[in-house]
Amino acid sequence: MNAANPQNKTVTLLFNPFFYIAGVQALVLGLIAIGLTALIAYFGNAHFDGVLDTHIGAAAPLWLFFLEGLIDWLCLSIVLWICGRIISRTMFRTIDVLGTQALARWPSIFISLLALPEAFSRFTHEFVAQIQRGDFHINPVHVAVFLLLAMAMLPFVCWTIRLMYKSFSVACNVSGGKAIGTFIVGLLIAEIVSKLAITHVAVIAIAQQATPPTSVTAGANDKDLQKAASVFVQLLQDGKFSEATAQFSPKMKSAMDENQLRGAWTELTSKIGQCKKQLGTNLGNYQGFKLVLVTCQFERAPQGIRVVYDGDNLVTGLWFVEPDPALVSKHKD
Amino acid sequence: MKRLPTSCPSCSGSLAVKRLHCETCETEVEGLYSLPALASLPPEDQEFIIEFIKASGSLKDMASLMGVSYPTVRNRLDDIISKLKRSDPKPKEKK
Repeated sequence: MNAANPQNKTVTLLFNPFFYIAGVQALVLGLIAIGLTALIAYFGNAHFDGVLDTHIGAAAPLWLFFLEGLIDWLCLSIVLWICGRIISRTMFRTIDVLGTQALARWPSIFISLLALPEAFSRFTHEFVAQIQRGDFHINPVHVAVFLLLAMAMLPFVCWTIRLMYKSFSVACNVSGGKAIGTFIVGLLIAEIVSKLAITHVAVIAIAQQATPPTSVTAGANDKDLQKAASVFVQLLQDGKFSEATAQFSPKMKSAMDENQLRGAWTELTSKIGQCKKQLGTNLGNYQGFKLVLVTCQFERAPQGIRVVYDGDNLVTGLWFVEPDPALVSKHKD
Repeated sequence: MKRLPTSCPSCSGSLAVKRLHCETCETEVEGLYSLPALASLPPEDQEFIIEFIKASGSLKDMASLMGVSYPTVRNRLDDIISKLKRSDPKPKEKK
C-alpha cells in the first residue's frame, strides 16, 4: 500500500483531517481546540452562542465560554449521530462522530482571535446602543474595522462548516446529495437546540452575578472600597463619565465605553429622575469579587447601584438593581 | 505481469477464463471457467483484502498499518463489500 503524496497529505490534513485522525485522538485534539478557543474568546467577550454563531457580548465568567463551546460541539454531534443512524447503510462508532466533530471546530480559534481587537467589540456595542437609543452616528473608522474583521472571519466559518460536513461524511460513511441535505437539516436543528441551551445557561450565569450578597465581611480595605464606590456613583451624578470609565478594568472598558455609560445613566434618570442623594452602601463578596451596593434616592424612586470590583480594585461590573430596603426605610421621611 | 481484465472492452460484459497456460511445462488447459469474485475487484482493492486478512481482520491494525484513521479503513471495507455484493447479487442457498 502506498502512503499518500506528502503534498496531498497537507491539503487533506487541512480540509479532511479525519482521513488520518478520528476516535479518541481526534476527541483529545478537538477538546484542546475548543478549550483554547474559549480562553481566547473570554478576553474578547466573543460568545459562540450557537453551532454557527459568534457574537460579541457581555463579559461573563470563563466557565461560560467553555460551556458554550462544549454545548455547540455536543448538540451537533448528537444530532448528526441520529442523522447518521437514519441514513447510513453501515454501522459506525459513536467515538468517531464525537471526536471528529470536536476536531472540526479547530478553525474557530482564528475566529476568536479576530474578535479580540477592541475596535471590533466597540463597534458592536456602540451599534446596539444606538439602535436602542434610536439615534445613529456611526464612526466610519469603526465600521471599516468591523467590516474588515467580519470579512476575515468568513473564510474560517466556511472552513469550519466544511470540516463539520467531512466529519459527518467520514464518521458515518455517508456521501452524495442525501448526505449533504441531511447535514444541512441537522446543522439547522443543532443551531436551534444549542441556541436555546446556551441562552438558558447564560441567563443563569448572569443571574448568579446579579445575586445580592448573602454575607458581608468587614476587612481592612472594605471601607475604602465602599467609599470608592460612593465616589464613583457621585461621578455619574455629576456627569463625569470620562473620569468614571477611567476607573474601569480593561475587560470592563472593552464592554462599556464612556458613551455607553452615559447612555445607560441617561436612560435610568429619564425613568426615575435625577439622583438626589446617596442613602448608604454595603459590601458583599462573590467568587473573589467585591460587590458594593450603593443605595440612592432618585426624584421618583429609590435605586440600587451595584459596583463590582476585581482583585486590582478596578470596576469590573456595574448593575442597576433593587435598593437595600433597610437603607430606604431608614431614610424614609 | 499485466493486469487481468475482468470486463469485455466491447460490451462491458463479465469475462470468463477459456484457456490456462503453465509457464513451467507449457501445458495449456482449455475450458470455460468463471473468474472468482475477488478477481473482479481493482488491484488496489485486492491488495487491501490481502492485507486485511494478514492483519487477522483487525480494522484497528489495518488503520495503524496504512497510517489512516479507523473510519477511513472501515469505509474502504464497506465499499469493497458493496462492490462484491453488486458483482454477485444472488445469495447462496443454505444446504
